[in-house]
This record gives sequence, structure tokens and C-alpha cells, in this order.
Amino acid sequence: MSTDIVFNDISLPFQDFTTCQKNLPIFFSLLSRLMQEGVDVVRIAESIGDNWFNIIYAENFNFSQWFSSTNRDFQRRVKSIATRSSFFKEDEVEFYNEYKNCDFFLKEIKDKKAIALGAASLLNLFVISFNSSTIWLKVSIEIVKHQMVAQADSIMVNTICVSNISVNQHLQPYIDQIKAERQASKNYFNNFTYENNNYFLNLVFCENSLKNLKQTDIDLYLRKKICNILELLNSAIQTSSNIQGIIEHSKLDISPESGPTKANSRLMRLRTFKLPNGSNMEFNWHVKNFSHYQRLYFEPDFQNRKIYIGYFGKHLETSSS
Amino acid sequence: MLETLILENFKSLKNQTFHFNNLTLFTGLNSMGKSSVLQSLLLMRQSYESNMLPNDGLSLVGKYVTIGNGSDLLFVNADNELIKYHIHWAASELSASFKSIKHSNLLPIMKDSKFSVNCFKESLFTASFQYLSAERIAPKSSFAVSDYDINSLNSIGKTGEYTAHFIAEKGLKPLVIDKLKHPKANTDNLIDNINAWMSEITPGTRVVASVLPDINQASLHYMFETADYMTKLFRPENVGFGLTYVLPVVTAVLGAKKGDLLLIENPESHLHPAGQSALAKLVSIAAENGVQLLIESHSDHFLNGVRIAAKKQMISNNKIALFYLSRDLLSSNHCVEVKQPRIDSGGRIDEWPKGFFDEWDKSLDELLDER
Repeated sequence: MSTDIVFNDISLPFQDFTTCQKNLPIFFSLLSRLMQEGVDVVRIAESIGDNWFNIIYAENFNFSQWFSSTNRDFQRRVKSIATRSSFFKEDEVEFYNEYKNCDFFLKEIKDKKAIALGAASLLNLFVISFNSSTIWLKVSIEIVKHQMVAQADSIMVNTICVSNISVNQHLQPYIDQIKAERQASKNYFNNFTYENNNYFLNLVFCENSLKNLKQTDIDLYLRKKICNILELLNSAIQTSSNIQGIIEHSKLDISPESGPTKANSRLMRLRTFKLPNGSNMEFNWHVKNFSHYQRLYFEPDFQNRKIYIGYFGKHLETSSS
Repeated sequence: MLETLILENFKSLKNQTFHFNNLTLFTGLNSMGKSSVLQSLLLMRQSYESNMLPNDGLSLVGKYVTIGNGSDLLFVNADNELIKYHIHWAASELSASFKSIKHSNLLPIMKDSKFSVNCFKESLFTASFQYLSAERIAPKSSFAVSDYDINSLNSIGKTGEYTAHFIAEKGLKPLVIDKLKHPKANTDNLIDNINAWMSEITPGTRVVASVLPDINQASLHYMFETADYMTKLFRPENVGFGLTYVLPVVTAVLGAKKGDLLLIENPESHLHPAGQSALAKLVSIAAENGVQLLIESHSDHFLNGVRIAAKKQMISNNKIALFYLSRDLLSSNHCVEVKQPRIDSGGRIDEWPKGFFDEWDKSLDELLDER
């Protein structure tokens, strides 16, 4: 599991070659350090593409030509970044539901749209910017959010600050923060037991899911998300007598496995987890409200008003994988 | 195919599930439990070979691996004294528990253990199996021969000690998996393809192996191709150490057939980076064509070779499993944490846990950035 940081695409292009050439190494140094801390850079606008080599850094600036003139160690660093890290497209559904009703503008430059910064504010994430102007040197960038309020047929306007990284001095406090968040998550989930956990009295955790949750790399954003989803499941089972009831009460994006996956014994073994009583159970239902295709697998026990939590983590292999 | 292994209370693995694939790669820092996974399978095989399974127990000392006594095998913070295995194949399974006895190297099997009818016909227990340990045989001019191993077990021995005998006897036989044929090999014979793949490691290599019946040994030599002639024969001691060290790996993979199970520790040992990458491609092609390989490696070149093989569709990325084993030093449990990075069809890896082949980047950071 990684921590995400949003690429602030409006920090490009650079105004001139010289500034561009001077600052590109700084940016890739930041990327390298972030990558090693398990931070993924996500992009919001589809048009950016997923390859650092194809981005327009400055007008008439040929990145490949410049790159081939740099020293070999630097080239290795950039190639390592380009081939190691996926430049993800943000895929969280709930975020897009809110995002589509909003417009975001840079406070400092009137009418300058700030889509990535806006997305970062909704996702409560930092942005990473190129150091192409004094605006992006700031550790916090102000944006103005315009949100459609459907019932009132009006637009709500407010100013938001988004945390920014563009130089080395910004980096260490951020890394310290995510390390602290991950440790806090680990400490929090370390207190979880199979049953009778505060706020989740209707949930029964399998050893496997406890192991997933006690990993060392769950940041604050993901912890809140997991807890919110567990609370919704915990609440939904109290009043539901079938899966439709759970879906309606929780408002979560829940799916079963497909027929071909269910028919494949190897794939179903990936979804078989040991219950606290030592027996095994196949888990079929999964919550999809996470980024990077992460899934939480559960099975309801309507008779006893319990939900078994079997797995949290990467999308498991399916017949169509 | 060996699909799933679940181990409980096994060395540093408290309760861990491994879903294997055609090509399964174990990585991690030293002493994190990578070898334990392979050892668990070797214990099953050696116990079965010595008729201890299914009725008597798990033999901790034997042909493939020596663990010691029950206390050496039991997870240090185990809350009971049972070491449990659950192994699933596509069409069979076993579930076995063994009682750990502190000072005994034979752990008795518990009555509730179950073995499906066909589980002992799986490659783990048959002649479709090859294990090559990290410590392989060093270069020398003559090697042991074993008709039983090379013919009945189709094996070159756990240190590759019968490799020269195997090549001498079977070198002219065609490859069973024709997709393993190297593009530059003149024929589909084993020896031509060993030469072609070995030439990826040292260009122009020719392996010459023969049996010396009078002294019941097999000899091994190398020749090298130049622009217009072949060199004289060189003894293994007089060429690069890596050549003889990797020869068992190349031979085992090229000699494999669909359904075989190969366990190989550190195939990359003593090879230069390009050789490691080439070896990864060979292994990937074998895995794509139905050989199952469980490999322990510390090599980022080997990993990158597999990634390139995935990108070039020499192997489907869905046939690769990676396991990264680490330990949380802040945890009071001496317990391994297992992560499973995934390779996509473009050869990219979806997560890079701390310590997972990140040394290059760390070193570059130190070299490039200001102090």
C-alpha cells in the first residue's frame, strides 16, 4: 500500500530553458526520495499521460535531447523512476463524484484553473510541483473552490490551502509526517482482535485481515477510509437481512465475484480465509471504494448479525485478470 | 502445479499463505525466511523419499536439507507445538500436522493429517523434481556419475554434481520444450542449446562433457569460439568460476519438461549482470511453457530480466508471483511480513516496499544529491 501525492500539472511549463534545466534535477531528486518512502505520484488530468519523458517541460524544450546530455548517474535515476513508479491515474470513485461538482482556481492568479490542486484538497493529499515560479516555492498554496449546491441552485465559494512540495526543504517534514501516520495506523490496528472491537462490535476479523491491517504502510487517509467503511458495514448488518440491504444501508460500492472466478478453485482459494474458530470460509463480496483497485472482502452472517472481514489489500486475481 | 502452501509455526513463519505461480520469485534481506519456504517443501520430499510420509513423520535430516531438531523448526513464539502444512495442487491436496519434539529430528505426524489419493503423484514427490541449492559444485575436471539420478530421477543432484554426467549422456537428445530453443542454436539438441544459452553468459562458449568409464567419473571442459577457429579444451578451473556454477541451472531448465517443479536458490551466483538477466529470460520461457520454478534470488538484474521477459511476452505477467519477505523490527514478534509486489504486462511493478531492490536508488541519491 502506498501513500499518494498529486502531481500539480499547472506548475509546468517553465518559462525558459535555463530555469527548466536547473530545476529538473531537483524535481527528480524529490521523486526518487518519495518513491523510496512508498509514495506514488498520481495524476488527475488524463492528458498528462503516464510517462515523464513525454511531458512538455518548457516550450521548445526537447527533454530527450537534454536528458542524453546529462551525466550517467542522473540518467539512471530518471530511468529508474520512469520504469519503477507507475504514474497512476486517480481512480477513487467517491472522489470523482464530488470532484465533478466543483471548480478550482488558483487564488494568486485570477481565473487560473487548478484542477490537480483541487483534487488534492478533496483527497486530503499533498501536491508535488515543479519549481517553475515563486508561487510553487510555497509550502502551502491557496485555491478557491466553487461548488455547485444542487438544492439551493447556487455556488458555494471557499478558500482552501493545499500542502505543496517543490524543494528539498519541504520534503523531510512530509516524510516525517507519513512515517508518523503509518506508525499510528499500525499502533491503532495492533489493538484489533478477532471480535469485540470498539465501534465494530458486529464485525469479526479473520487472522488474515488483521495481518493485512497491521502492516506498516497504511497512512492516515487510508486508515480513515478503512475505518469509515468498517463502520458502515458494522452499522448496515444491524438492520439488513440480505446483501441488498447492506448495499442500500452502507451506500458502498459492493460486488460479488463473477461466475467464472467462482468456478475456478484456484482463484477461490485466494479468497478462502480462516475464521477465528479455525474453519475456512470462501469470501465473495467485496467493497471497491478504495483507490488503486484495493478491495475489502467480507461475508455477512445475517442470522447472527455479524460480518466476517476476510481480506484487505490489492485486487485479487480474477478469471479476467 | 503446486498452487498453495500454508505454513503454521514453521521457523519464522507464524501463519503464512503462499499462492505460487509458474514462476515464483522469493526476495528479501538475508535471514528473513526465503529459504524456509523452499525448505518446507524439501522436508516433505525427503520425508516421503525416506518412507517417513505419510505414516511416520517429518524427517528434519536428510538428502535435501538438514534443519536440526524440533526446536530448530518450531516458530519461536508459537502458542502450541504443532507445525502445520496445507498444500494444494490443482487436483489434490494434503493437510499435515507434526508435533515438534525439542531434541528429536523426526517429528511425528498427527492423526488428523489428511493426504488426498493422488497427492504423492505430484511433482514434489516424483522424478519431475529438481532442487539446486545455493551451494553448488565448484569447478573441477571430473565429477561424480550416477545413472540412478540422471536416468531414474532425471536429476543433476542438489549441488549440480551430476551435471557433466547428465550432459554427456543426454546432450544429443532433443529439448522436450521446443520453445526453449535458443535462436542461435543450430539444432534442438540439449547440448547445442546449452552452448547457445551459455554463450549469452560468456560469448562463444562450448561445453564438452564425457563419461570416463574406467574411473567412473565424468569430465567437463570448455572451448571458446573465435572468429575463425575453436580454442583448445580448457579445464573448468581455468575458466571463469561463474560458468561452471551456472551450468547446472541452465542444464536443469533446458532439461525440464512441462509439469516439472524446479527449486533453485540464487541462480545468479557468480554471474555478471548481463548473464543474470539472460538467465532470467531462460527461466521465464520455461515457466511460460509449463515448468514450475520456485526461485530465491537477491539479484535486481534477475528481477529485471523477468520484468523484461514479461514486457516482451516471453511470459505472461499472470504467471509470475513475487514475494518480498521482511521483518518489522518494532514488532515484539520474531515474525516475517510478506508482501507481494506484482509485475504488469509492461514489466512495471506496482509496489516497492522498503528494502525491495532499492539499493541502486539509495546509492544514486547519495551520489547525486548535496550532502
